Amino acid sequence: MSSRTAAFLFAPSAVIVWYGIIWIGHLAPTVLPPPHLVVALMAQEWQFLLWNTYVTLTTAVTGYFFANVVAISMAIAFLYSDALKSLATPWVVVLKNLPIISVASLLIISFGDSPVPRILVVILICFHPILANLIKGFEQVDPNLISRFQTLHASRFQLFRYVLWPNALPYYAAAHEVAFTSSIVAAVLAEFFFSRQGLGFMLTQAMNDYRGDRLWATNIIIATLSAAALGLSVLAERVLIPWRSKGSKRFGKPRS
Amino acid sequence: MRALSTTGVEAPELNVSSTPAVKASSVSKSFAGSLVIEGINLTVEQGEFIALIGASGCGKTTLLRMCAGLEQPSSGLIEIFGKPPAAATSAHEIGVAFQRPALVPCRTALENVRLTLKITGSDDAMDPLAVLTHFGLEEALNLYPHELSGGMQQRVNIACALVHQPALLLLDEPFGALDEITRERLVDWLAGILRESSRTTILVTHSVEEAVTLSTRVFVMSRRPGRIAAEIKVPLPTIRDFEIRQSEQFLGLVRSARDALHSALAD
Repeated sequence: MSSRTAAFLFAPSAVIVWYGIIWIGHLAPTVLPPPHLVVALMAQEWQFLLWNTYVTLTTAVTGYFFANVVAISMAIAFLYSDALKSLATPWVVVLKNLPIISVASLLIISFGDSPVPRILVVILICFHPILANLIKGFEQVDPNLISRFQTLHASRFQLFRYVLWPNALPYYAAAHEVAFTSSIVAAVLAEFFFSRQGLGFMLTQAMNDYRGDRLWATNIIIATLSAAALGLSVLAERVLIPWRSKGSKRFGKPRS
Repeated sequence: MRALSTTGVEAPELNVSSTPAVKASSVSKSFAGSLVIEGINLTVEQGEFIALIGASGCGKTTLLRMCAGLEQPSSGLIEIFGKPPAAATSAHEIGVAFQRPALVPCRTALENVRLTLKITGSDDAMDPLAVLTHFGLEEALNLYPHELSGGMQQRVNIACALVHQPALLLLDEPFGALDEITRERLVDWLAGILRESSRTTILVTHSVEEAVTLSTRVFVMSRRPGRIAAEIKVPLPTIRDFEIRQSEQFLGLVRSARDALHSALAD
């Protein structure tokens, strides 16, 4: 069975398993709402859900954009300044290893009810995989290639443009698979703590109200967004680095 | 861009001035306090093809890298066409090919050769398309490096080293990583390519046969710290076909080079 067929089978089988669990366990809709009730709620409250999805997505994408800016700037700065890299490394290690839940609460105390702490949470969660992968991409350049370009008297910029950056691109693209997906989770997490809108806020509200159907609807939306983020990252990888993903298919088999 | 002659690669005009292509005067090099090369004196005249042979770690690659300006001698002086190596690289007079082909992975064979020209901006460069075709790579022009066999990658690599018409070609074990058959074919091919020009070439190699087949002089290096232990002149005709390589003279030269290598290692 192809992985594509399996992917298509996922949604219907999830629904079957869902109904199956309710049927076997004789579960009340308050404990585990059946799919049709969740779908009915989604149809009924679609405007509200869409608005909150929009809010969460805005936080995630804004945070993700800045995470990229921060990570790319840091990776390039580290590439050209060992002193800066040594100075920044303890900061990066501490920031990366802080429990994000506690940091989120600190940020919310400091920045209050504004989008800033939520965006900061997204940046904090997303920047590290991007930074780490970019650094690795710059480090893994074939030293012979750099030597060859030096004998051609290539400028620093040419070396970056034609050798270092293209070499880091596959690593950068791979980082998105982890980082872009976590940006959604990070945005929901931030809203979960302190917000009056967004999917994370909907989760807290639904929990307080014991609204299983709303809770499930929100969770389905979050899962779909995460899956879409992953799909988009894979697609971006194909566009960004065609020489890896489809090069051989396009030009036929190599010969010796 | 200059058009190619019918032979494909045009011979640069022979420089009759007496400035040697490479002049190393008592060059020593140490890495982290350990001496790798000791007191090397070496003069390569323009148009010569010399081979450096020696055991692994004897410093032959280091010597080549110093000629390319990639390493600085700890003491002594290296001059390329009477200038420091850095001046020679900024004048785009040097072409290098390493054992592992150094190609940009996201660019096709043709794009890699073109990129070399973009960097050097040479005005008397060869046409990349013609060079690759001449190198038997017409079907590989639009293939990415990872789609090429090892032998093809090395040919593209050498094309990158040659396309900007450097006056000095430095080859660091270009066939070291290839299988025996590909290696023999490429040695013949390289001999043919370089015969058409009279480019000064330094070849670093492990293989005595390769050295005698290609060069006009073979230098044998001692064990680390590397010194020039022996020099063997190769007074063979320029075209060294299969017949010549079976001749008594050729085999004798290979034998004496091998003897020199063994006694250099025994010291």
